[in-house]
Amino acid sequence: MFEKTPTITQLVGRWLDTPDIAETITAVRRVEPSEGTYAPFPGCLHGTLTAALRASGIEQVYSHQAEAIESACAGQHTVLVTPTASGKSLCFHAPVLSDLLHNPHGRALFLYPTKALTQDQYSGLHETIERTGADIRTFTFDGDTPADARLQVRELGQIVLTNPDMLHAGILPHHTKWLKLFRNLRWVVLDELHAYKGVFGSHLANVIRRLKRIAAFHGSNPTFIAASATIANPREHAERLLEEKVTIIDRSGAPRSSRDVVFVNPPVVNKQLGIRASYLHVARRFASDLVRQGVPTITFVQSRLNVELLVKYLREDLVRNHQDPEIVQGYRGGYLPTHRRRIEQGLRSGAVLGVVATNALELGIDIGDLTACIIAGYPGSIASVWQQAGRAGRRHGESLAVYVARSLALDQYVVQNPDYFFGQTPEEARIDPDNLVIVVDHVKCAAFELPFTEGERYGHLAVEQTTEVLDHLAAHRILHKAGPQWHWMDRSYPANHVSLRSVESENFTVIELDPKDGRAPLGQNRIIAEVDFKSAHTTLHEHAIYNLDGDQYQVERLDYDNHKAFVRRVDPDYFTYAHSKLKITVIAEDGQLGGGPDDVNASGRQATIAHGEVLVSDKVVGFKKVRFDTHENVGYGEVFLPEIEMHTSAMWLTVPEAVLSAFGRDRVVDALRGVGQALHTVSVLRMMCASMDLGQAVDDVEESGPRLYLYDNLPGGVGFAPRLFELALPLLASARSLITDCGCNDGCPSCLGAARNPDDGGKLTPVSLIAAILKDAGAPLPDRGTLH
Amino acid sequence: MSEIRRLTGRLQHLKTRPAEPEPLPEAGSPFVLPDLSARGAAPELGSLEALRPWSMVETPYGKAHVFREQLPLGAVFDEGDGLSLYRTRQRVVAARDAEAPSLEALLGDSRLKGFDARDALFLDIEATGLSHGAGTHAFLIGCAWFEGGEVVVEQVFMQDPTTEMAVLHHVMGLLESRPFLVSFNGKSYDLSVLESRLVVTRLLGRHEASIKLRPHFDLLHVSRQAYKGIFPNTRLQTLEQTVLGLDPEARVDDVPGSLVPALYFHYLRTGHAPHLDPILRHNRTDVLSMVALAEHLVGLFLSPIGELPLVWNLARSALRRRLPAHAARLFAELLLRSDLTDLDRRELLDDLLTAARRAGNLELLATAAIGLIEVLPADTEASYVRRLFRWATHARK
Repeated sequence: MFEKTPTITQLVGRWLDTPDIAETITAVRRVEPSEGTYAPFPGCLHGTLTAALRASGIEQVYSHQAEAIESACAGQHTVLVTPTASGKSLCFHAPVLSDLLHNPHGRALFLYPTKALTQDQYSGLHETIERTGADIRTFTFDGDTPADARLQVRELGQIVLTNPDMLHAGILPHHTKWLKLFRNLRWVVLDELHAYKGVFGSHLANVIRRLKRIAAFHGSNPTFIAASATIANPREHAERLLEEKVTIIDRSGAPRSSRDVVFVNPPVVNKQLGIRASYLHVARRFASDLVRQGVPTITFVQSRLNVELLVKYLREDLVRNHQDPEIVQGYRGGYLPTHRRRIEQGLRSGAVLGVVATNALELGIDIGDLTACIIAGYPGSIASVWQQAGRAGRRHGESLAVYVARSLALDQYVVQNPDYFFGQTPEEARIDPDNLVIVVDHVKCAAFELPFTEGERYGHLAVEQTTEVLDHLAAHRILHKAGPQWHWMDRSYPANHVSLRSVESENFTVIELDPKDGRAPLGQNRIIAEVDFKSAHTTLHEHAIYNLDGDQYQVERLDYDNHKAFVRRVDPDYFTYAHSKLKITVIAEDGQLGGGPDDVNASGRQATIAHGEVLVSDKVVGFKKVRFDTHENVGYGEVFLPEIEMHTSAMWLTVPEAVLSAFGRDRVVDALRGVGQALHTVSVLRMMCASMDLGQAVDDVEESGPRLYLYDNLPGGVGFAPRLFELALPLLASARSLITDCGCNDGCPSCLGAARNPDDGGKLTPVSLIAAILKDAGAPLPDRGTLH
Repeated sequence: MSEIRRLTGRLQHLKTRPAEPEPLPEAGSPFVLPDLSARGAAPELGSLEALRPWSMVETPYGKAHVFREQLPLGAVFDEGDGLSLYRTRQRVVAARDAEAPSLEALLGDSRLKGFDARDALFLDIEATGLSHGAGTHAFLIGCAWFEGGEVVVEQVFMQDPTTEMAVLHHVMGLLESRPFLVSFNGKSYDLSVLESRLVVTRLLGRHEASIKLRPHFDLLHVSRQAYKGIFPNTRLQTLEQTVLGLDPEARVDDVPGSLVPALYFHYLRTGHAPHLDPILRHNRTDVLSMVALAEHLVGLFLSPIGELPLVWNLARSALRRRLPAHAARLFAELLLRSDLTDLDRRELLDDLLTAARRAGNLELLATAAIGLIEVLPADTEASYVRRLFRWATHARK
């Protein structure tokens, strides 16, 4: 079917020899291969297990696997930090299964961040168990587990695979029904530890505190085994999350293929306006070339819409080349599980050669050996790039990663400075398990699970701190102190009011209508996809073109209240692109620093800093019709959908008239965006949260002057804003240092972020703006210790 | 952590998630929510001791508040038309012909073999919430049983959480002194809450088997089988008025279940007890109704007499419980009634056909088949008609 598949070196060579391709390539770097280091099976493993592994052709393990297994078998909390596809699963499975073969009454709990991943990992574990021939009963337990099966899982499940949300709201509050699990809990396995960062991670750390508290009550003391992608601070992160000393295993013994990394910048097509060619088309060209020549390729794009567009384009290219279009498949959230399983199978069997994905695949779903990976658009962090690149070139031979930049500032910076990328250490995972709002929420849940007794410590909090929180809850009549104990005395079920994740709302279903008469005959409804609440606003508004698996559907009717979209198969020459407007309204101001804009002179301060409650509303206002291939604008429509509203807390900074006239309004607004970026960076560090946990926006309000908002990007907030307000002056000083100390000349993604207009004087305006704000404010010197 | 004081204000101010709406009495409920902010003027009048003549029962875990009453049977069973309890028993005995299936078979639970209400403990809890999670406390446990010619009711009250172990210990003692347990929805609620509390107080060990394995007659499940589709629902209050013919006055100022936790929390915080009175009365009425309902249901299942839909339900229930011979007999009897509509008739014939086939009763099978042939619509599938004729003639041979 294919001519002989070329080698990576040949492929890259050919690209460099083709002038119109070569001109888009800004750099090619090679990561050298490394040999594997192996070790025999650790002696601690049960004979049945080693025999089963041998029978399936595994004669030895990688050195890090042996280390991890030995460490876990010795009862040490073990954290594995090795690249994608280095055989992490075995490090979980071997010690646990071996132990359960010895102790059939033992129990193990496996936690995965998502339901989909749990299902996927279940199949792998199940296969291994089947090979041993042992009867180790393993179940997944999540929101989809039918009520009548739950009893069976509770009574019989020796290994239970679940997710943090289910542990939090479905298992711990019902621990009295899970006696077998908690009395015999010997292992807790946490995969994808790096995914638990920011507020989500802080919540998980508290769920782990509760888990350990319940396990201790029932007399068990489990050993934790965890795995994380490469992050800068794996030990610190794991020890904060688990509140245990951990053994870190970070020297991978897995062999690594050589990897060529090609940096591609789409050519400038309009010099006057500085417009570059569509990165999607450039990515298409590379992906098409690879798939046509039989190179198994995965392409990551940054949105679901782009997954669908690229699938459609690649299939057209294949048809033109007289090849089967079905060898290219999309893979993204929203596909139904059966659909996803089919694609995964195709990838493993080789029937699928090209897959276009959002980052859904980042989380370790096993898709077999791919040779090339195209990263279309910077995924936001270096760790993500390596994880995506790690999808290709799993064990041997050579592999290829192609990075295609978008015209966004961050993408452009990386493509023009490839060494930034290779030189930078990966990001830190930060959590703050002692965030007061989060602690209070989880102490409620913990008190529901078991009364607190005087002298008890919650997690690593001191007795006094724990008591203070408990007294606070008793004062609010949620707990009742009787004798030496605080009891839950409220009619509610607290876990239902504490959500571990910020995004949560029921999905929309997409239902296909009969294409002939456009009415859905009863009983003939066909659900073709699911869309999460937020994306539904941009992809399922009426007249939207919904793309699925390379086909187009027009949304005929959106039943917003019942979360249903009715679509009809169409064949348009355009797709739709919705745009939304973010609006922040101050509801109540809780505190203010400095005089109002009117008495700048009186207070001597050059801006007002305040905090309080805000309403952040995101509203889809309209959509563009964009022609396929040319991407020209061919129409426009309005959208009437409710806003997505979030009530939260914010800190804001208002620039007064005096400064505006001195600098010029446009310059201030532009500089404020840069300041916002820098302030966001230092605030995220200071709050120990994830970047996405803090929102940042600049709003040019006519009456009050331009405003910079930093807000808790979670419904209700978790207490960042009031602390940011208290720290506003030192944080502004830190932001100034970040900008001035940055090695760049005119601002870069690491400091000012967004695209800078060099005519605006680069760093000058933002720095002077901060100076103006801090002037006479008596700001203490920045606390450098928190930054570096 | 010194932030906590400020947080106290902030948490109040910033309503993060919508708070649980205050429960409101159901529409039309005459219950008047007491003003929970008011304290009793004279503390001694508002004390728990003034509310009921409690006896303090000693347990290894301290004392438990127990309010015990001994009631004549007439307080439970309507004596106006003679001793209905006595008549029920007569009916039960009369129904004991050789062919009648046993009660445990009719109820589909072999553990209820030999069930007799006189050997049972009736139990109903009032709890601090509706969820089954570990944090829901049973603060009032109403128990009843037969003793001599009387019904004894004991209400065991958790005066504060420190007395929980004493309460549980006493109740488990009552439960374990009788071979059978009767509840209304206890399988999924009352026992689940008790089990959780036993675990949390570390008392489960000794009582695990009695909680999990004790023969348990759940009146709600059985009532559903009998009265499904007949009354708008099968709540205990509904059954009291429809089936037991209880005086609705008994419930006239009944406390809505949704308010129960709030009234108890108020007592815990203030020690002011009068608002507990409606809960104690509500719980007592519930337990006594359960005693009457159990007798009624036993009689009904053993000797199914009544309106068409009721007996029909019982017959279908017997069919589901794999008692096709009993079901077939009941369907056949129903077909003799004069008040059947054509539709009833057709459906009954269908049911009879199914039951007779499963029971291998060729005679009734033929009766059903012949009956159905007469009322068949024109477009009936030919193969079905052929089968009916075969069944109809088979028995004749």
